[in-house]
Amino acid sequence: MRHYVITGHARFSEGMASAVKLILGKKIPFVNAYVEGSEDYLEQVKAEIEKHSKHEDVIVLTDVLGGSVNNEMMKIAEQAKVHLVCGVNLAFVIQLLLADENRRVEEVIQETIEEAKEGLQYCNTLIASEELDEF
Amino acid sequence: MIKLVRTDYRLLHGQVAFAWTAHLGIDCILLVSDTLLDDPIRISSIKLAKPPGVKVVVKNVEESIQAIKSGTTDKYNLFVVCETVNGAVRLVEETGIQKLNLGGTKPGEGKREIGPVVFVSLEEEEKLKHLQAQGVYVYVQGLPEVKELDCKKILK
Repeated sequence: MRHYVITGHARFSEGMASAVKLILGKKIPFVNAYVEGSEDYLEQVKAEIEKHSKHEDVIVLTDVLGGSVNNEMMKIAEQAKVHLVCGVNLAFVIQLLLADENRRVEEVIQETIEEAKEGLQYCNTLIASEELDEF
Repeated sequence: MIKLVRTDYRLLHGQVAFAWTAHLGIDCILLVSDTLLDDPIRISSIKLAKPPGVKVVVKNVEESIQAIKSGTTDKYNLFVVCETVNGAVRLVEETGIQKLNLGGTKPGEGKREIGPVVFVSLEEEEKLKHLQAQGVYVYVQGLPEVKELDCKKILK
């Protein structure tokens, strides 16, 4: 099985987890940071990782590259079976959770990053060149 | 093959495009609406929201029924999303489909909530009961992960 933990500044991760719950009906563990009770958020993330067998992949998701939360997570990024992805958006998290677990995790993460980048768009300038389909 | 017929007034949105589409291995979504094609803003957001690798076809109720009956949709793992209860009831009746999922319907005056975000008027409730009497399984289910609620116990 593949596992996930999301973390980020203030209640970013809680909000992301609640959006994922609404859209997919799936719960993902989250760890808030720099709010009351989250002083030890790195420890909380570690505890979340340790719930799982050492042979199972855990993907840690964070809000922003270069932010202090991601900087903290870099301390655990090299642990075996831990994968760290920063700058996640909702499209990324959803596609990741829907990905086939039998595929290699490294490959899934790379591919999902490319897909999710497409989801960041300036709609005003976007010409809907896409056409509707026919059967 | 029709994998699911659902009423959902939001048509193509996250739950439809991601959760159900992945869960059912959908390769084509038919959006059934008598108003959508006349609404350029909604059409452009639908074009942008097409899930990767999935066809999205928009037709009115009548043309949707004809398309399904003609067999042109048989080659797809098709997901039919109807904007209104009335449209869905007509489509199910005329094509002989045996199952109708109630996803989300618009709240409004004189409507009652029969399940999470599912609101029906008295007239719609009558039509749904009529479908049930014909042996169609009508149920409320927002997401694949939540339990189905059989409308037999819900509709008055």
